Amino acid sequence: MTGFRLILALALLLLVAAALALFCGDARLNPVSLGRALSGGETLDALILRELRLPRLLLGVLVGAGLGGAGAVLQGFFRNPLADPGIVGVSASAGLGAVSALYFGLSAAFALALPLAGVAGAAAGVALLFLIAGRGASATTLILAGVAVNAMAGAATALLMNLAPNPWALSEIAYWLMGSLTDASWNEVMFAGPLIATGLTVLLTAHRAIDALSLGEDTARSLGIDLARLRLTVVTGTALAVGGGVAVAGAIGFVGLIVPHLLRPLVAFRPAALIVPSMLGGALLITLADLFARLISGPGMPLYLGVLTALTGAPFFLWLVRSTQRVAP
Amino acid sequence: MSGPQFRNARFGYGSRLVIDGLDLCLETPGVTALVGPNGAGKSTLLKLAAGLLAPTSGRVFVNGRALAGMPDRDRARTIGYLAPDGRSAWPVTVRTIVALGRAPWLKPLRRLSGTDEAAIARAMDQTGVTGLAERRFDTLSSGERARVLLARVLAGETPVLVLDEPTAALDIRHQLGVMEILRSAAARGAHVVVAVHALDLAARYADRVVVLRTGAIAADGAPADALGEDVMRDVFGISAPGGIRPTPLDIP
Repeated sequence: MTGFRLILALALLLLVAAALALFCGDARLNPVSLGRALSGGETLDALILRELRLPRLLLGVLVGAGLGGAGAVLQGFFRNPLADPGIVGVSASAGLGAVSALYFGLSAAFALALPLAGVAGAAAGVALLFLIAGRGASATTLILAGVAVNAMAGAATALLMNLAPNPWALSEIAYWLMGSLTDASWNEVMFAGPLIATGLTVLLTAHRAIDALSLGEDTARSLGIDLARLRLTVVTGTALAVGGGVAVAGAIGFVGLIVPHLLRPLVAFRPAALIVPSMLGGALLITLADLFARLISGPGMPLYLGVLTALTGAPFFLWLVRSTQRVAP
Repeated sequence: MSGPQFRNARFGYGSRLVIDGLDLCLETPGVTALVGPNGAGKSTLLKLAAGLLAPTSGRVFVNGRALAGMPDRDRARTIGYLAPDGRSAWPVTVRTIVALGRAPWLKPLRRLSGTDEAAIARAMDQTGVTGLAERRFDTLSSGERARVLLARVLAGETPVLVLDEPTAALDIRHQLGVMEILRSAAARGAHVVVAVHALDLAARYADRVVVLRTGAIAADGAPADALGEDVMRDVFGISAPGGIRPTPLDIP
């Protein structure tokens, strides 16, 4: 079966990328260091691996899988290849939730506040999107609804930055919004991991429904699909998978757009068959992009991962809009 | 097994009543053609019959069971529905589309069973699309697409088939082809309810014709009676001396 082979190939590529991410960098390390790190060694290479690179890698894999999987499900649900957590405003809403937690000091009050606020923000964003875009939204309506959600989340975030008590808090929010895995530690992995994993599990349960949806809402319902339940599944799954990631790594855009689009022809365009490969592909893309960002960042001049994905993703989005316009009558 | 049955069913969008106190019972298998001018409420009636809309008052039954409160899966295993806009959001293969018709029968996390595969193969055979199995949907002609979507409905092997204009946008040869497929489904014991605009098709293929005018039944009976001269004049506003009769045609 091709679907299984694709998943296997992506998993292998992810392993290779993970090895590169672990062993490449300013400190060149090797598998021996990994053995030492995993067995609790206290040497410098073991510490770098265990406390810096391993959590950073895992967090990247989690965030990427969340974005890729959510992108695949959103595209299937809206029957639209332009749906992406970033473009439709879910990431910005999650960012707003997290910034609120930072601003009001909730994140200092209890540690889980930040990821939970991210999830709550993302859920509000998807719910708002459904409200504006409605059912069976056309590409234009969907993008316009995304613009609206993005604008609202952006405005509220700007207000919080405007009211920031000091420049230090302001720059903290600004840098955090750019999206980065630089500050990844086991804490972030522990907070975001369960949220994203739950979200991905929820998203997977939508697979049959989004397949049936490719023939339209009435046909899907006639095939026994409960659309109200499906909407709830998509909102919950997207909120957890994206919100959990944004809360710990900031808004990393375009992963959910590019990955499903590139993989779609490889699964013969079946929306359900796209979900798991998109998770793996998202994880792979973030791992490679973060490795690249890390390698070309000079001392004192860090290149943010979110900036890198936006720089490459935005032209891709432009091209995708052009090509969908050409296909649609 | 008896087909869809309406008991004093009403349905409206907002304050506008589309179906007004409808009583209709399709107890014996066969092809029932639903005809009527634009805006008569054909699509709404079909959605009520398929359980996709719930009547604002009155009730709709299938096989003696009320559709309201019937579990989604049971309903999907009883009634197959073909939507009027025959599109697929993604350019998947013909076989993938036909296989969607088995969705009501799939168990969670299980692949298509032998029974499913057999039903898919039968449906593709009955509609003559077996040779197109690996073709992408977006590469097909309108006639081929119509037959593929019909195969999708047939693959569900439901005792009731509700079809909204399956012959729209097809040339006459493909119209006849689609109606022949529906005839043979009825011959195998299905209750087929099909909305058509071409009255000639209704006259030729239907066992029973229901003429709908502004949400109410204007005529109901054998084609020769329901498509008579006076109905044509009163409902459609055309003069058809002797009523609508099938023109002698044949697919060579």
